[in-house]
Amino acid sequence: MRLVCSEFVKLFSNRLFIICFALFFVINAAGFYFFTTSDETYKYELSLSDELENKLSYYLDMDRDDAAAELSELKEAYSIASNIQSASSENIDPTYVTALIEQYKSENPKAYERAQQLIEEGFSSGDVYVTDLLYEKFSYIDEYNTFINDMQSRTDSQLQFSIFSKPGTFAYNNIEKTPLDFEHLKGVEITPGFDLGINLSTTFVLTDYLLLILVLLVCIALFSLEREKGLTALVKSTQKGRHHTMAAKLVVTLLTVAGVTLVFYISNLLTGGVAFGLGDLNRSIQSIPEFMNCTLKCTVLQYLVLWVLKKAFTLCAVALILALVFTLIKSTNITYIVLVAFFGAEFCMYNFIDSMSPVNHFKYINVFYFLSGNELFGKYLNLNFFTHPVNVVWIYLLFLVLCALIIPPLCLIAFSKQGQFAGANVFANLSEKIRLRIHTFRGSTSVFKGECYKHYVSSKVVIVLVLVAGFAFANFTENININYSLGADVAYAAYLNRLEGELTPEKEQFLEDEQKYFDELNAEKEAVTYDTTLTEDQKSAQITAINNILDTRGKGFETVMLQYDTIKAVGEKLNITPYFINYTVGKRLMADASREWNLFALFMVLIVFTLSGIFAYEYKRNMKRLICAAQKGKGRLVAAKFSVALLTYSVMYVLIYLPYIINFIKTFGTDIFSEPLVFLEGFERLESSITIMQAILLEGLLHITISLAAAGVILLLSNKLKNTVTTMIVSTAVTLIPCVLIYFNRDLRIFSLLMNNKLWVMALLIGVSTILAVIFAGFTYKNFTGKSLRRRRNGT
Amino acid sequence: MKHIIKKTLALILAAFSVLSIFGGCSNEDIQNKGDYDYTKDCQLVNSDYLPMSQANIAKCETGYYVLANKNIYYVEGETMQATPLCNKPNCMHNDDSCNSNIGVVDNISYYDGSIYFVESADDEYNFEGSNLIRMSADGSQKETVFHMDLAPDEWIIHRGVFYYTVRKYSIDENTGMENINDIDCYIYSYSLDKSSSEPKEIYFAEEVQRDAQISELMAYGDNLYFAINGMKRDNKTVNISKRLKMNLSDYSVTEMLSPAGTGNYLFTPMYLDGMLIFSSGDEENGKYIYYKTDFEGNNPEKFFETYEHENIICDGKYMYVDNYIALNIQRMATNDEPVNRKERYITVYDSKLNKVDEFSLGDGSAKTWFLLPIDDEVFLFGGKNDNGNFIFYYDKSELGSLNGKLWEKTFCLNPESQTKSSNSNKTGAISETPPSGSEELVNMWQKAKDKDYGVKDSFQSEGADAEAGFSVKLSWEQDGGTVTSYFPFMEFESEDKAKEFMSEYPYALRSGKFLVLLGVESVPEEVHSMLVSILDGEPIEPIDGAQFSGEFFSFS
Repeated sequence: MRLVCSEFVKLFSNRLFIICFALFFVINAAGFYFFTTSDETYKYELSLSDELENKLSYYLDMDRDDAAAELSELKEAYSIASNIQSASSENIDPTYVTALIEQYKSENPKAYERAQQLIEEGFSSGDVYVTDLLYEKFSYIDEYNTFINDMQSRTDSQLQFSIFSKPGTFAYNNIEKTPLDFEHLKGVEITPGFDLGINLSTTFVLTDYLLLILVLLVCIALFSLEREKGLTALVKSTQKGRHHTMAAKLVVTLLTVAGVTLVFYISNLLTGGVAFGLGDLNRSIQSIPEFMNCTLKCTVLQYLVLWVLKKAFTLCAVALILALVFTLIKSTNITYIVLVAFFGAEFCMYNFIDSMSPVNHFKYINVFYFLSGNELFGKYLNLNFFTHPVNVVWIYLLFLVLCALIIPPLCLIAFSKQGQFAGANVFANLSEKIRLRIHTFRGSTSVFKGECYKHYVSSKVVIVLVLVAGFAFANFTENININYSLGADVAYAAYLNRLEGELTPEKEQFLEDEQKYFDELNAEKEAVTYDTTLTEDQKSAQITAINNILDTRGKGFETVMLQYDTIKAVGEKLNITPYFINYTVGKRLMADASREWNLFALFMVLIVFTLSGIFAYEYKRNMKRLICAAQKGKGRLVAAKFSVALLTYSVMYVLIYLPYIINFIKTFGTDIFSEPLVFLEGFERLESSITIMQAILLEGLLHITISLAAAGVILLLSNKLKNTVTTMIVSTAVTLIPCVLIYFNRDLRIFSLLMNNKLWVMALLIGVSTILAVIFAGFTYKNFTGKSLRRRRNGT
Repeated sequence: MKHIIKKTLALILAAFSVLSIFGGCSNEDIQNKGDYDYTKDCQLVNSDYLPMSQANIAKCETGYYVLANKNIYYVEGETMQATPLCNKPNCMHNDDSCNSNIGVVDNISYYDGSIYFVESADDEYNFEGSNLIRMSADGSQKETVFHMDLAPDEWIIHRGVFYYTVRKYSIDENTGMENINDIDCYIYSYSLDKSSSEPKEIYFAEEVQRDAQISELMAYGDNLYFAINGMKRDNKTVNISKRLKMNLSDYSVTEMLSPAGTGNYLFTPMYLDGMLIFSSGDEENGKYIYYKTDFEGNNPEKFFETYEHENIICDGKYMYVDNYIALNIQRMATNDEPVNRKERYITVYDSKLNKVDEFSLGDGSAKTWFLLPIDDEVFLFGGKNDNGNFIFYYDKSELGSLNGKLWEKTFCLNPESQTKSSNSNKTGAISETPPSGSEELVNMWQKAKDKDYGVKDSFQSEGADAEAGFSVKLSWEQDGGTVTSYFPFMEFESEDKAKEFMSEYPYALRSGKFLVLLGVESVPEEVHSMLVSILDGEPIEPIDGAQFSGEFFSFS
């Protein structure tokens, strides 16, 4: 018990953990509230919540079928009324309006009459929305009953087909099993209600990622810090033996993770309840359409309890896995690589393996799947194990049991038996021999060279740079030529070869001539069609030839003319000469959402990995006091460290971003760079005539300042935390979680700011990032040297 | 000695003669029947208009796979019933999570127990090519077999090899407008049976460049047939259009020329009873000549002749000659109803050119080239209309008895009959709780429920002084819409009470003290029949509203 208490004290006296917990909690709560309540669709529904509630209560008091029937009629009436109103108000032929009214009268007189009443009484779009929404909710009752009650008949129907009826196949076994798993749900009462709060609260992804980071921090604090500080030997020499110590650590880990999980997810539910309402918690979970395939016979409240417990257990299992990794692997760098590889692989498998792939097991037996919103309990799924369908919930439970049974004993054994310090690797002697041949220390070396040695050689950053250089080479040599598969695209490219650049009178004349050419071609086609002097074969041949031209060159020209109209309008708006820019090429350079994210995320990972140890290096080796007694003072030392960091940063930035640009220039030339960005498709809203080159430099500057700010955070953390792996983890949270969150939203890219004419936002971000970078650098300096950056009045 | 030799020779000759009689080998009949195996060979459209790239149907050992809109359906051969290719009873097949939903795909193919199709690998900003996807026969698994940098124009799978055509445009600084349509066309092959296969270029259309195209790709036996079209590479005013045959053993290419020496090509081979039928540009007395060859495409002989623009397809057993185009051209030529217009009909011949039957399809737009023969059992067709996906077929066992009549289609999948007006357990809330009331009433309810009627344990009827009751929900199509009504079944205290109620509400049916209120003067005959049967305690099978005859029962 005392051991447990002392481990709790260790954990909660770790300021980083407390700060992160508080910070993440605020970010999560604020983020959830902000992202959900600012969404236009949700906002609209929120604005109608009173009316929705009143109408819902009214219809809930009725017989379900009667309510559905009445809503159906009302929906139809609103539809007719809306159509009549809009037809009457627009400039539409009155004859058409009359005919429309007659049609409604004859097809559905009752609904038409009701529609007339609604028009006379007046109605709003909100009324229509409410009715449509309630109609969907009440229709769902029938839909669900049909779904459940027809399950067996669907099964029987499917088994009549030979491809599904071969015993011993997965298809057959799955079809047989499924209705049995849903049998107990017959007769479940479906009660319409408000579902938005439940759906949003249970599918907010940010919480999962923040909690993963917190779990990592807990494990670092309990399993890694002592080793980093050299206290393992002390900790291991406990009265009751090492097993008790490790057991205490595991208990504290699990309790903390469970507690933190409950706090976060319950906060989400409460926030969702306050903002949107959770509705009647006593209705069956299947009352919510998103849970139609849920096989749990429980109420909404019971489901939510189970859902929170699932999250807690999953994160506890993750914590156990991490504990094992930290216990088994002693090297910080390797630990980080293993963790990144593990979570990276899990993430990729979850998101990129197809649900019907033969290896979809990796998609579903996956930490991210277990953590995901309502997938596990909310959607029925069987996996194929040697033709036997096994429900994924059982697999999840097995996963928990295995984690609980296997990992703790392994941790106990590893902690007890293994040494806790990383020995020299197998190449250490060899590398030392090589080093001695290349270089022998003669006396002292400069501070900068010393820092370079520590960073590039001792911390192995040079290996990372070599790998990045390989990546750069691959980027540089990649074939980025455009493979045209459509003639129209080729035609467009050919036109742009001729037209690209400033719109001149000669080019406008060319367009006029081309338009005339196509007008004549179309006239010729029509003439051939009705030419009775030609045989069918002759007609067919001529028309085919004309169509070939129209389908390729013609379509390409249509695109060119649309572009022409656009650039003319933009040119007039900004009072500048219009430019033709090849859209296909331009978008590859300026609007490639995947490339922008990939490169930036990669860069973030690299700077986290390479810069985390800059200040922590000496602490790890207990050389801090020694190194601070430098001849030229700590300031010089910090400057050297900053220089090394900046050097690494610069080299990596160049290796990541430059090759593609060079490759692009090699492939497509440089003409495009001098053209105003506003004439590129998608950027028409820009109210500036900056060129593409200027835009690239601006984006580059933004990338640099943001990543410098991130680097500043990393260096500060490295100095404050005095621990490389902790720095890596926290830095990952700060830099990569936002990257992951915006991955799936392709509109959240830096080029989107240009598309939406948010140059001021870019400038602001550059300014703020620069200030932050300077501030972080300043704090790091101050922290390391103990001096303020400001001169004191007395000049000392 | 000489005598013995002569006798021996005579015996041998006699043996050959006997064998030739029983073997049925005559000069005219010497045909290579071929070894066409539909599970391994390219399953062909057998139409001289429809390229393989639009074939949305594939035959398998037990039935057919049909691509309708974005969904794959399986049609059981024996029963001709269709189902989405999804083995999840808990799936309603109406969203992207359904196994049968494969996205926007042009055509499908079946080979060696798996279904194949090509899907685009594009993303929004970069063209990422196409993937060849393999799907298991029961639709439970799918995987990417092979990635192509360009979308193929046409593709087939033949004896374990994926053949596909691509067109590569080239554009550079010197490309003028006149060179836009310069295209390099290729045929590639990729072995599906070898796991470490790489695509292999087996043909480059060197002769053509401007508007170049390789088309009509198909394969029979050991040969690949295709057409090349376009302007000559070194002289872009000269048009080239050739039909070629490639031997798949050595990839040698020969031209399929008409044996008449006219310089015309034989094109679009169709399979008919062990031989290949080719159309040609040869004319004789205003008729186009069709030729037949052996299964390897050799030894062409004149086979058939038709008037211009008759569309022919072959299904392996019969040849179908459709006069649709001829009718259209007549109509266009006169810009009005053509004089002496013939009726549209399709004539069926066997491989000996004996007329088997004649029929019409009724629907002017259902041209035969949309009827994919695949085999000699059905014409099968799948698609989508405003109501949803549909699949129908024409049963070829009826050939020989049509005699010019309309050939009726049979639906395997008809969206109009689904759910909207189905009276079988798909509408209304099934109530597990029986109504209160006498045992007789409960039995009535139970029997209706057992027959899968949509029942509920409550009823609504103003003015009815009934002791207990339940309702049955029925739907049917009427006046262009769907009518749905709840019919209350009521139990009165006594027969007299029921009669008293009926005197005020005459539009009802009564059986003793039990009554069902219709509320209207007339209802469809089928509704009346169903209600009467439930009232009598012997409910009939629910009849779907779409199947109603249109006859009405009227109280008057």
